Amino acid sequence: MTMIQLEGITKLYRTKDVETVALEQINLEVEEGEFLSVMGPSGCGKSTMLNIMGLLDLPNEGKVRINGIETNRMKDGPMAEFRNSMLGFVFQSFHLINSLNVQDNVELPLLYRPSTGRSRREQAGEVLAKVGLSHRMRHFPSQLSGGQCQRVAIARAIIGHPKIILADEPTGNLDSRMGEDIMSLLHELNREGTTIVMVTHDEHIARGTQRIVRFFDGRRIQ
Amino acid sequence: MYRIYFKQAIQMLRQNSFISIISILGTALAIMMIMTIIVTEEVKTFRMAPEINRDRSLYIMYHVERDTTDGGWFSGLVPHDIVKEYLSALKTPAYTSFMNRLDDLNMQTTVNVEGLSDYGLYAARYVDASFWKVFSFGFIEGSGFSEEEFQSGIHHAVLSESTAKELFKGEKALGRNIQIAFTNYRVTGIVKDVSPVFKYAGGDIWIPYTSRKEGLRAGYVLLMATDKADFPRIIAEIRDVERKYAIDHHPKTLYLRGPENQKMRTMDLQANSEQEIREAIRIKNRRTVFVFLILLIIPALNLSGFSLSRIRKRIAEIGVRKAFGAKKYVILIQVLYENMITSLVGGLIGLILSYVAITWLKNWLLKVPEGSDIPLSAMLSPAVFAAVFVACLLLNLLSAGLSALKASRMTIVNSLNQNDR
Ligand SMILES: Nc1ncnc2c1ncn2[C@@H]1O[C@H](COP(=O)(O)OP(=O)(O)OP(=O)(O)O)[C@@H](O)[C@H]1O
Ligand SMILES: [Mg+2]
Repeated sequence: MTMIQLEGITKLYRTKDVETVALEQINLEVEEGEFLSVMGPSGCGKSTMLNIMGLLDLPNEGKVRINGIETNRMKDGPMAEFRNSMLGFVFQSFHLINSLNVQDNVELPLLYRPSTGRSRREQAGEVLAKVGLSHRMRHFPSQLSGGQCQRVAIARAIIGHPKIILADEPTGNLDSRMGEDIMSLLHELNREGTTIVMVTHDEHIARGTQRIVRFFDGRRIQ
Repeated sequence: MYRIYFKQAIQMLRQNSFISIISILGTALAIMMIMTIIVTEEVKTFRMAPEINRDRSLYIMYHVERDTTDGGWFSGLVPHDIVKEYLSALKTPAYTSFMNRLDDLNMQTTVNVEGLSDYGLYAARYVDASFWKVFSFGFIEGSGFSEEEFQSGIHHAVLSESTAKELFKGEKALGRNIQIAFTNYRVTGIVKDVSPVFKYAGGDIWIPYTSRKEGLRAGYVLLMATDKADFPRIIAEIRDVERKYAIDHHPKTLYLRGPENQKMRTMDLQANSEQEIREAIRIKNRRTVFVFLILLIIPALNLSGFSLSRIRKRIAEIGVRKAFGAKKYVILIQVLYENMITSLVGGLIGLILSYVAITWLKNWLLKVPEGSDIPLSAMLSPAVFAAVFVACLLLNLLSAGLSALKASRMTIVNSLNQNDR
């Protein structure tokens, strides 16, 4: 079954005098349970595509269908619930909340669904153990290294058991050993049935996944 | 959820301590200003010795008599004839007291003590026997006068402590003779000084108006109820008096303004009929609301700058929250909730500051006479807390509402990229 379907996606950025075509007529299908790598040079539109897939941004043209559901005309409320249950993000620049400690950052997705403080704490403890950060629960993001922040971001993305994980260079800030740990974590989630779309610059890591799509200048070339 | 918001709000206050302190202080000062103004108004209705029955007193300060045939009319203080003929017969009030108006210096009276002190000008209050029931004077020596003494037109005088000292050069004054408006009186009472702030009780010397040749032609009427629940009945009785007067004095009609309670008295309403007084109250209330709105809007505008800069710092956070499933209104609630914490902390500090300010300034700002206190209960009442809470809420909505709304409506990508558009 097709989990994510992009159909004729075009995204333009207009600033005062220049118009950037970030994506041009992109068609892409991701199957349920697939682990897909997206590669391409800097500025070719990888993050833009991931944002559109994750319903964080709207395309100028084209349709996004997720789990068979047309998302274009969804209202704010259902859209938020949909994101909460279906999608988990790992952002390129972490986007942790500085005024929350690690535990509260990780609990964030659970805050927007019915849950008790206790179950949230338990689940946060579990996922933080998975990324090897149990000893940093009470730290604030400013007290962590880049790699540790990345792992918190991953813990946050997986805590809600989303059907899809969208990860923008999840290993970009990690040394190779930590990177491998994270990759084996992602592979484990994938084995459990999670669909994963990952942007990476690392050919070696990309080869470990089931499929690679390549972008160049806003176009899919492979 | 709110516990987490609270934790985060406190954390943010700590992380942005400078802006936090400034905006908390801003709120505190705004609340202090509003509170001080409210108390300045309220204090005029507090019960303070000697006017301890303010809460159950009604006042008639003014009357209008119209001739329905030629449209001619006459107005002013309440004439003695009306008091004697109609008001003294009222059934509901516990006491009806009639006294002269004593507002400015040219109403003073010549007083001297033969062989001891020369002529001087003093504020003399011409009163009846009920006067001593309605007000609570601190008698140092002697007493006021009884109803019988009043009816007999007895030449007795009560002096304030400092007046007695001045006139009798520190000698014992009780029982001595004194000349008031060139007429002989005997001093039968000495009371603690009463500030001229007390519009009805205040003065230097108190004598029965029956002791004066001309009596008291016109003055203020004070109707003291047993309980303020009787007010409507007293007012109805006054309206009856007006109807009766119109029948007795056809074609003349009578309007007795009010009777006004203490609160209305502080509004200083001008009116020549029932309808006019209702209109005057409406205008006063509207003006009060307007003044308070201005008092809220100005600090709100100032604070909105701080709210905006605080929200700006959090645009990315808002994007993250939405990406993980927060709805727009949830974001809006969170931002306002956090801002409300700041407002309430500020409000509480402002309340404390206002108590300090009021206690400090009470003598010259509030003209609370030395020796009498503003009852603390009046400042700590649930009504005051409710008013402060509402003020904080409005301040919050006015200062943070718009920027919170804007921030909650940004697209997620723009938020994440901190594109503040
Ligand atoms: N908000 C924006 N306004 C204007 N142009 C933008 C905006 N966001 C992205 N772009 C442009 O769109 C193009 C695609 O950007 P995108 O971030 O998707 O690239 P990327 O492939 O993720 O690059 P990187 O590997 O460096 O992360 C770039 O040319 C970028 O300059
Ligand atoms: Mg990118």
